[in-house]
Amino acid sequence: MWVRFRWIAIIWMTGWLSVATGQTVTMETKLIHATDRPQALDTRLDDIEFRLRRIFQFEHYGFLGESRSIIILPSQTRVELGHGYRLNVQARSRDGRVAADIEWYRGTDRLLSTSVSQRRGVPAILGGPPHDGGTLILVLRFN
Amino acid sequence: MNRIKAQKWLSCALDGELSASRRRRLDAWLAEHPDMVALREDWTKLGVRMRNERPVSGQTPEAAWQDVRRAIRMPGQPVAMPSDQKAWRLGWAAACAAVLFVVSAAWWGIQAPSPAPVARADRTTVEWVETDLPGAMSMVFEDETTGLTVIWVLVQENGEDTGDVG
Repeated sequence: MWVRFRWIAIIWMTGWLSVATGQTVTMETKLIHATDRPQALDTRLDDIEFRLRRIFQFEHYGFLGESRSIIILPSQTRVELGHGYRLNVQARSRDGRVAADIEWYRGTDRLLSTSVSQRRGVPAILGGPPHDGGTLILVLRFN
Repeated sequence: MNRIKAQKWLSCALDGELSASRRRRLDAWLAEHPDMVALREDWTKLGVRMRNERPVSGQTPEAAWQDVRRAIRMPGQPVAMPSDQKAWRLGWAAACAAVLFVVSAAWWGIQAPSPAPVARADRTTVEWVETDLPGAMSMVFEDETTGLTVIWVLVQENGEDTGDVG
């Protein structure tokens, strides 16, 4: 009984310390298919579509997939985006922000690689690769 | 005394705001100017008329609004009232409706998602970008309206690129 309690306390303390030191972040990705072909409105894009419409001139935005993972910085993470796309993210904490080296793959082809520094909660918009008559947009955010 | 000054004093006298000495001077001046006496009579009649057409007092705005609400709740039982009082209450109802509309619109504006631009210090910074796609080039731009940073790959497809940036 005492051993079990000790393990729970250790896990709780580890989690608390991670949160307290600001080293734990939630990485959220959203893969979007932007096209001029009609698509049904998707409520899963409610938080970002109105911003995208201000930036781009696509008529329709379709939801392709999303992921959410909790990572402790520094960390290297692989995210399967679906439809043959994946993301490799090497993230670390720097000056109160999250610095991330991002590689976006389609199969073995590297579509895009970049290094960014993001404030938590502020999304970065990646995109451009063609997909099914439209264009892919990837929203990456650390919370 | 010129005519403009006399008109000012006449207006003050009709409102009861002219001192006794000035009133005596005005009366003396009016005795020599019968056309201004006619003007004084016109203004007096106008004042009486305006006072008679003043809205019925004793009705507070709150009471008027209660009447409107009661009329809305009971559409089959219109509130009987004199025509001038009705017009006055309708005016209040229109004013209240306008206030409600403005408050609702303001509230909706607060609640509706607005693309508030990201503060400059919070914006994403990009150190470098590369792409391995053949014939493609990368670009980075910051959208001023949203404050978001966009990292874009321009891919040439049959002479056209995939850029559809606003």
